[in-house]
Parts: sequence; C-alpha cells; structure tokens
Amino acid sequence: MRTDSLLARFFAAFEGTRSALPIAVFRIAFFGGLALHFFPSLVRLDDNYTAGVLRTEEWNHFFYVSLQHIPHGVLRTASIVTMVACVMAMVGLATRIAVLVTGVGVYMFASFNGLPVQTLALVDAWAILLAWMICGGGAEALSADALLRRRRGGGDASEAPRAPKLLSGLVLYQAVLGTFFAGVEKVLAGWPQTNEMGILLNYPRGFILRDWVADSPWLHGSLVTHAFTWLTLVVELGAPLVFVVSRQPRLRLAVLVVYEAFFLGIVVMLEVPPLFYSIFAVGGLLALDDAQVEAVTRRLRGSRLRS
Amino acid sequence: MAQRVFVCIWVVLGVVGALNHTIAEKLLGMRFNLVLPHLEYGYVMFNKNPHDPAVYDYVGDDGIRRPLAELVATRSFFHADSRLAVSVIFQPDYLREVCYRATRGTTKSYTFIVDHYDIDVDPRHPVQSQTLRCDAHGLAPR
Repeated sequence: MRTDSLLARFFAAFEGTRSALPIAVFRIAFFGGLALHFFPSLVRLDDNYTAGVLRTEEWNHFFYVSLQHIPHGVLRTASIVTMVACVMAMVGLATRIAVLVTGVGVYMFASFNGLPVQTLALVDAWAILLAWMICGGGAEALSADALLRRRRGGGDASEAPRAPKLLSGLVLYQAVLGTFFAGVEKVLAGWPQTNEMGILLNYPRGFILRDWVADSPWLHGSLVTHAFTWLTLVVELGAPLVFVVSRQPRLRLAVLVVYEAFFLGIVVMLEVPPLFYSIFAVGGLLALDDAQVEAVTRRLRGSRLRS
Repeated sequence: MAQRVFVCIWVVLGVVGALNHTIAEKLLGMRFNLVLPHLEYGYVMFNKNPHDPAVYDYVGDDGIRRPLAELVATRSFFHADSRLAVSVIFQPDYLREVCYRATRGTTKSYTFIVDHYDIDVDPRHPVQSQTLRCDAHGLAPR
C-alpha cells in the first residue's frame, strides 16, 4: 500500500498537466542561452569549424573526423539552419521540429570543435534537448504556436494555458540531478576538509572571477570563503533532495529562494556562460507548483497595472 | 504505462550516468560507455581548482594593456576571460592560434603578457611574467 502511494507520488511529477508558464519561461531562457553560447562560433565558421583550425574532440568522434570532408557551403547552410531553428524554438514557432533541428545542429557543431563552446552545462543541454525531442511541448504559452492556435479559434484566451507535466518534470529532474552530483563530486574531491572557495575567490583579475570580486578584499578572507564552501555543499546537496522528496509548498518555496540566490551568486561572482544560468537557475523555477505560479503572475500583473 | 517505463528508464539512466563518473571511477577505476551524449561526462563544477592560474593580456600599438580575450574574434558573452583561460588549459597551442587569427593578412604586431600566479604564495602578485611577441611570423618569446 505504502509502495503504491510512493510510486503514485513519484509519477505525479511526470503525469497530468500543470501551468504552462514555467516551462514556457524555461524554453525562452534555455534557447536564448543556447543562442548566446553557440551563435558567435556559428557566425565565424572560418575561425572555428574548418579543417585547419585548432580543434578539440569532446563529443561525437564521427562528426569530429568528418568535418574535413564537409564542403564549406554545406557547413554554412547547416549553421544558418541551426541558428534559425534555435530562434524558432525560443519564440515557440513549429517548436518540436525547431527543437529537433537545434539539438542535432548544436551537437554536431560542438562535436566538430569543442574549443569555442565547451562547458559542463552542455551535459545537461544534451539531456534536455533529447528529452524535448522525445516529449515535445513547451510551447503552450508565451509562444508563436499558442498565438496562432488562438487566432485560428482553438482555445480560450481567458483560460490559463496548461501543459503536460512530463517535459517540465524531466527538465527539473535534469537540473537537480546535475546540481546534486556536482555536490557529490565536491565531497569526493575533499571539499569538507579543505577550503576550495578560498582558492577560487583568491584568483587574480582576468581568471574566472568577475573583476568586482577580485577587487573586494572582504571576499577573500578565510571566514567568508569557508562559509561559501559549506554553503555550496549544503545548497547543492540539500536543495535537490527537498525538491524531490518534500511536498510542503512553503518549504519548497523557501528552498527555491535559496537555490535561486545561490545560482544568481555564481553568475554574478564567476565568469560562467549564460547557458549555465539558464539551465540551472531557470530550470529550478519548474519546482514552483500551480498555486505559486498563479500567485507570482497575479503579483506581476498587479505591479504592471499599478505602473 | 509506456510513459511510466520511459520516465523510469530516463531517471535511472541519469543516476547511473552520474554514478559512472563518481562512484564507478573511484571503485572500479574505469567508466562504462553509456553511449548517450548526456551520460558521457560527470557533473564537475569547480571541484578541484588550480593553484597556479595564468592571466593573459596583450599590449597593442597604443601601449595600453588589455585582456587577451579582446583579441579573440569569436565572442564569449559574459565569460570571455574564463573561456580563453579554459581553452589554453584544453589546448596549450591556443595562444598561437589567437596570435595567428589576430595578425593574419595584416602587418600588426602585439605583445602578449602571461602572468603566472601561485595562490599559495601570493594571490595578488604574479610569481613569474612571460612576454611574447605576436606578429605575422607567429608567436615567439621576446
């Protein structure tokens, strides 16, 4: 009996429908992040994806070795198609096809040369793109597809759009899985016995730290850096567990606030790609339940009306 | 039912993939090839940070010292310096590539300055500085 209820609780995160807004916001942020990350190298093909340039093999070996046999015109066409598809996915136009083309395109180019785009956030990006290709969706709100559907008379404009939980559940799972195992890796690397943040926050200007952090002596002391070391471990190991196990809205919301502040702190203090933030921080917003989404949208609408 | 099977496979694969890079490697000394791209690497974020970072700058005709990342034509939004530093770690020849791309088809020359730090000795001042000349002939110690 108890097993049945546990299973039901587990699958409830992936079955039925929920507010379509969080996954729509994630769609915009995620494909925006991919665009910022990949477009510069896709525009400058000669500097990054020709046979003579310095390259690293990080992903698919077949794509890596086939680059030298691909004519420049084909490569240029592929880069344009990938960029167009990414923008389409971001605005939610023919979303499923756009996601498929974007996924194949960016994976192919990352395999051609890892050097201009390599980041560990790509591990999660591949997972999310693959899940999106399989599940579809994510364009029920804030999308051109939804707008076109409404123009054609399908759906009531006054009704809050709903989306299947499957994709949202898988994206949230991916974000918290990455966060949790980043914490596990840190524990295995000996973080509890050392002060790794003491090393990180003492780096000079021009190496990983944002300039203001390198120029702020109060952030370099032992007490502050030890606190950051432990805060990192607690958030990375604790927040995913709360999101997976707890069904108490208030606790989940409180932990979500800390989790969001943590990732905001990372991008404000360290030079990490925007794609990292769009996956982990915006992905975390999928932990909001329908009532919390409704409360947030009501508050946003209220402040817009007031202004 | 099919959806439940899919969810189970996806969730279990994600955990197995993550364990493959943490526990499996520590216990068995090897990783398994799990084929799917998102299971190829572990979730490592700043878990071991180098104690000897290097900072790359350049000086152009105007004599002003600037971050070398400014010479890289392919933009890395909001993480240009760390992209350059990581690229040099991945490919030590990357500095030559930056020099080649910046000077090809021109008569320009630059001075590249590499400041090596030792965080355990003095995180504010470099323990060693290296000056390199970059022009159409390539990159060479000055």
